[in-house]
Amino acid sequence: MKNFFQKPFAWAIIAATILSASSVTVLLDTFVIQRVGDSGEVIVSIPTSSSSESSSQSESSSSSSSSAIVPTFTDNSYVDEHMSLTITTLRRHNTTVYVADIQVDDPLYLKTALAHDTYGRNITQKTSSMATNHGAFFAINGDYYGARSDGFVVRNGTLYRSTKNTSASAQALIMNTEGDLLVMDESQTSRQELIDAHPLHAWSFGPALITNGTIVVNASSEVNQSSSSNPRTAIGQIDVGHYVCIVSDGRLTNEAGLSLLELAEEFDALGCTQAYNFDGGGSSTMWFHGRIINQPVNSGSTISERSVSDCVYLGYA
Amino acid sequence: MSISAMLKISTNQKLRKPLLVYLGLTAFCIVLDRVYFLLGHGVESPYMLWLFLYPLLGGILPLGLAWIFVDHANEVPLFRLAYNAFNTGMATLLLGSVLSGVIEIAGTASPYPPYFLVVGWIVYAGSILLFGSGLLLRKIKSFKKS
Repeated sequence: MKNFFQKPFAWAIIAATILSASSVTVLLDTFVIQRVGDSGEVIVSIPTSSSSESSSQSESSSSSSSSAIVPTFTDNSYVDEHMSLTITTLRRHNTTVYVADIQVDDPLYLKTALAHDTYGRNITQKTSSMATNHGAFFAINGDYYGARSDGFVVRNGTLYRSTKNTSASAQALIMNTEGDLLVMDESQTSRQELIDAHPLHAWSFGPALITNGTIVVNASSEVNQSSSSNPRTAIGQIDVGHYVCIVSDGRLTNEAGLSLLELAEEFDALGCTQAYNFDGGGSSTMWFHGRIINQPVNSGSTISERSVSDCVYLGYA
Repeated sequence: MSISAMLKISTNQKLRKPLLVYLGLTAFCIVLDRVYFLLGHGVESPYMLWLFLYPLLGGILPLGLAWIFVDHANEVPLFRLAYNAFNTGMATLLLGSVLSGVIEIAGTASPYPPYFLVVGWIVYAGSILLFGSGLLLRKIKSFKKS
């Protein structure tokens, strides 16, 4: 036995085999193997949409019922009797910035979807595909919860994950039943405190950009080890039922991307009292009425949409 | 005596190759980090940034010390076993660090890379202990002979 382990190549072959196999296993487990989580716990009951509402979105032009919702689309806007949306394209800091101004008369119209309607790790789907499947007319990517094993996950009133992100700077965003966006210090929030906040949705990415009308990031703020300018996705609130979603381009020759401070300043200029950063980089996607609005850069400098864990959308279904 | 002269008369010419390999590995780690930094759109991880320290301080330094201070290092009892463990420990540490860096840069998480680092350090420390034991054995043998 001793002689065997002193043979140079026998040892090297065994060690290389073990290390290669374990590395491949770790990479597959982290990036590829899908693991379906449990079905979650309903903590906020959400009334189902009326049949006229849910059918009207997809069949708007052929609506015959007097109670049916009749939407009006333009290239960059949507309006019906419950919701309105306007997308404005701006040029800021050598970056194209897409601002979606949203007004709803009920926060339940701002919904979230999980990839393949399934909670779990490495379960992904394109934002556009999720939106289409849910009869949405507008969507942005969410927090990509499936890439991590901790952080609050509440979607449409169902609590899927209450394992808190324990890092000191972890902040969660909740949207409660009143439609208010609230930033919570995740490491200091218990499961019961989360439930008591009556969240329709809870996301765990961050950081918060604006809380209570004050910009809370600075020029050196960043997401983990990221460089300062990137494609971004973020959501903010101006007033009751009045939200703003911003997606910026980046990682392209003529698209520098935004820093978190620059992003926060955009929300501040629009009058947002709360704003929160979602997953950005290659995940950043804004979809409206069948087309991708921004230029998502998934890998390298190729413009293509990334599959993600979840999205935020507007719709009735 | 100059360093070059010292190297020429060293009894450890067989350590020249591993020294060069670890030198190349150090350069490779630096290049890997820079390439990954560019491909990762400027996202950086300390696991990748400081990766080169493993072959530099963990590889070249002890091999260099053995080259300078130990006569006929490759003839020390248990040398082959220690050398195998040394390389395996370094490989495990490098792999653990690369995996940690890749996973961190991707913005995801895995509980497993730390195990690589723990195992790597244990095997690496074991190799140093084995080599030290070999040196001790050789000293005892030569003491008995004299």
